[in-house]
Amino acid sequence: MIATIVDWTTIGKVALYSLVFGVGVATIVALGISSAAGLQEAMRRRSAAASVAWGLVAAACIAAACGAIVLGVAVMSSSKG
Amino acid sequence: MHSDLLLLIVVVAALAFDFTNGFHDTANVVASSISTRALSPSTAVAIAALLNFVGAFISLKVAATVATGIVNSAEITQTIVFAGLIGAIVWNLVTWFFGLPSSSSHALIGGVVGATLAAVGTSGIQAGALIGKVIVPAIVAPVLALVVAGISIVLTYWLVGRRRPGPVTKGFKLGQIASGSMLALAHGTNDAQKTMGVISLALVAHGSIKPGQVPTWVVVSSATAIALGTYAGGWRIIRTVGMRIIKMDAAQGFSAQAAGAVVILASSHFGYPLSTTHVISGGVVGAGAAKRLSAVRWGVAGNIAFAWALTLPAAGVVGAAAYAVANVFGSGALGPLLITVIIVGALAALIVSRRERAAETAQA
Repeated sequence: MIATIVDWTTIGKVALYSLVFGVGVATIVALGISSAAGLQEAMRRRSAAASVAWGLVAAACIAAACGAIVLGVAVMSSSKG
Repeated sequence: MHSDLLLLIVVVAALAFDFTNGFHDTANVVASSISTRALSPSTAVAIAALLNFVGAFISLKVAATVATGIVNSAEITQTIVFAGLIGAIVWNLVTWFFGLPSSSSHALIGGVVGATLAAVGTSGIQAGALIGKVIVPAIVAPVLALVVAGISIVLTYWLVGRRRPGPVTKGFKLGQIASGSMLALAHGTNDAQKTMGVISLALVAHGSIKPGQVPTWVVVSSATAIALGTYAGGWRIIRTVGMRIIKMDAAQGFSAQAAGAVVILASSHFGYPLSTTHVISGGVVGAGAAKRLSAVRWGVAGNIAFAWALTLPAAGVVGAAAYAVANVFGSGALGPLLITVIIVGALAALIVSRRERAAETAQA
């Protein structure tokens, strides 16, 4: 009976989106923070190549995290019932 | 005339519930940021209040679910809506008094369902929708947040494990400002809509609007009430969520908040009226348990789960009792007016007794 009452397809979508975006965003932010810390260490060692590499990864992660925030707001505002 | 006065009482009760919702659920949004010192308490609460206000304007899908999807709006009277609100307000105040982060959303739905059952019986309830749109998502969502936060924190520790702790903690504290802000926005989107749905139900019963409509003044007043409630803050519950379930570091706080925000956003998008309390509590437990099972104070988590299971039936019983009392005085405004006076009096007595107790403790 529960199987017919509950829209498992939609709940499955909620679970899938939550897993993909939740874990994805946390991973990107963690990678960004790790890269920013790597950038600090590379700059202290005066290693230009490593600084550029870590800086690029950190910048890409910050951009992706900002994109995720914009996407989140867009998803919320597209839910006009 | 009587109908207009009753509508006014119902709208005031709905906005009072919305205030308690913001007051009660502030903990969900700010507790992690405060406990990891990512934000000062006053700043965290102010940001949460502002974003709750903004979030209330973003979507109306959950409001539509509450207004039309759980009870048969054709059978709903204003007295039923009022009694449902009383059930929710009383349960919110009881759980606030004991510092338990229970769900305002389920209290509201439980109150309305209980009052409807008392008034018109099972024909007033859309049982399928209640199970499919409220009860099952209520069970799935916290588990989902727990899993998302758990996986996130494992990956996070793996990624930042070899870095110096100082810059990493600073980074996650910044991340917490963003994830906490998203959580506040999602909370406003999901929770303020429940009050909009209930006021809409009362307006449909009054004959002012058609089912499915949500007037602009309802959106503005609901957004304002939840924001004011959030700004007032529920410090007892902040302590439980932020410090008593686990001792949180900034990475765990970020993972719990990000998991909570994403689950609430995804659920709101599909119109599920979720409990932000349960989702963020699930996220906090997941972020703690993934690090070390013994890091979670399971007794506190158990108390939260107990309050969670009790919310729908308890609010339902209070809602049904409130309807029975109001109905003694007929279908007019007298019953709801008397109940309002009793509730306000009881609340004043509760606040005075708490202040006296706090003063005695300070003297001792």
